[in-house]
Amino acid sequence: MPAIEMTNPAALPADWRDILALTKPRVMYLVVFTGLCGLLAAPELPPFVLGFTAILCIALGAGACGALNQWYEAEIDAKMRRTAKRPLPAGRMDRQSALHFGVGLAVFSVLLMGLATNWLAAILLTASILFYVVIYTIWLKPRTAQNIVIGGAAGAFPPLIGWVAATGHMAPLPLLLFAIIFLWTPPHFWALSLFVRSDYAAAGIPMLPVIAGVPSTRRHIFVYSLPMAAAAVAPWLLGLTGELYGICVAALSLVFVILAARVLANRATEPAQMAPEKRLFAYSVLYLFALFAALVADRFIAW
Amino acid sequence: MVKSGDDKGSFSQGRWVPPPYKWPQLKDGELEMIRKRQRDRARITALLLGAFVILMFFITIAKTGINW
Repeated sequence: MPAIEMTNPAALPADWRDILALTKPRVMYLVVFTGLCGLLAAPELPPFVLGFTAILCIALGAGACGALNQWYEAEIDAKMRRTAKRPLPAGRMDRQSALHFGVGLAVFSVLLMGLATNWLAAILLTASILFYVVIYTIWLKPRTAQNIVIGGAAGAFPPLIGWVAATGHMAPLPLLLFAIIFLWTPPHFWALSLFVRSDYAAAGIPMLPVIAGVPSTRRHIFVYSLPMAAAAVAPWLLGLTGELYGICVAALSLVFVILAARVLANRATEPAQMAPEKRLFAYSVLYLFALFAALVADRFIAW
Repeated sequence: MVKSGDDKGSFSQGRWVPPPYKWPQLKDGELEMIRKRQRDRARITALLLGAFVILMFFITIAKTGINW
């Protein structure tokens, strides 16, 4: 692996496409979607422009997290095939610019959220950015195989922020939505880390398959999918949503658990033979989209 | 009077004088690429600033509760 130039004082000004790539736009879709659904599921909707601004701030906060993550992990990214072409490890941008961009974007998103909606939403946005950057990226990820279990909280904030931006207060339903994403994150990421574990091992990141092995990770995936499914149907069982949500999510969760059981039954250790893991990873993204879509559909039908 | 001069700077009347800034040697076409990127970034910054001003205007209208 060639050594990367971390700072080149005579570098060209970064291309705007590289600045955009720093924000990890593909990861942002799910964050924005869950935040939007959290906002739309709230009992009272804000004026359009304030709702739009709240979602924009969630997107900008997620972009700031992506930039700060890439700033901190530039050397690790250079060692992984999946991430080696990012602007920093590829030498298309200097590290200091990424740091300034990330911090600036984070401060801007929080201030705009506070001014446009309410300061509780701004505090939650700050907490989510700090949790992702400091607790997950800097502290947990390089140290423990349980990084994704605790770090999953960072990605669980958007629906809570969306709800609070709309209403100004917390409630049981957005806290359950937080719990669903929190419990969904480990099986989602462990399924991915099973078939890219050689990358994580090369980069020295202690992901569960690297530390505990493939069979143990498969058991973890299945075990975690059970409380996740329970949390997913809890809003319906507690009477916080209607039957549309309950029936959709019960079916979606059943499929998730079946796919997790197939992962558990798989004995392959080569990534090429990990079709059940790849299927579960792809389905887990669809699962979260469908769950939140069902939540919003249920809310509007109730109206 | 400059007593000595090289790439590391020099001393003149007891004070250190930094070396003259050397512009990096640009290859063919690099200057055009730098200018193009600067232009692109300036345009995008202008668009974002314009959008921000419009957004702030509508946020103010919404927060003050004016109904059109």
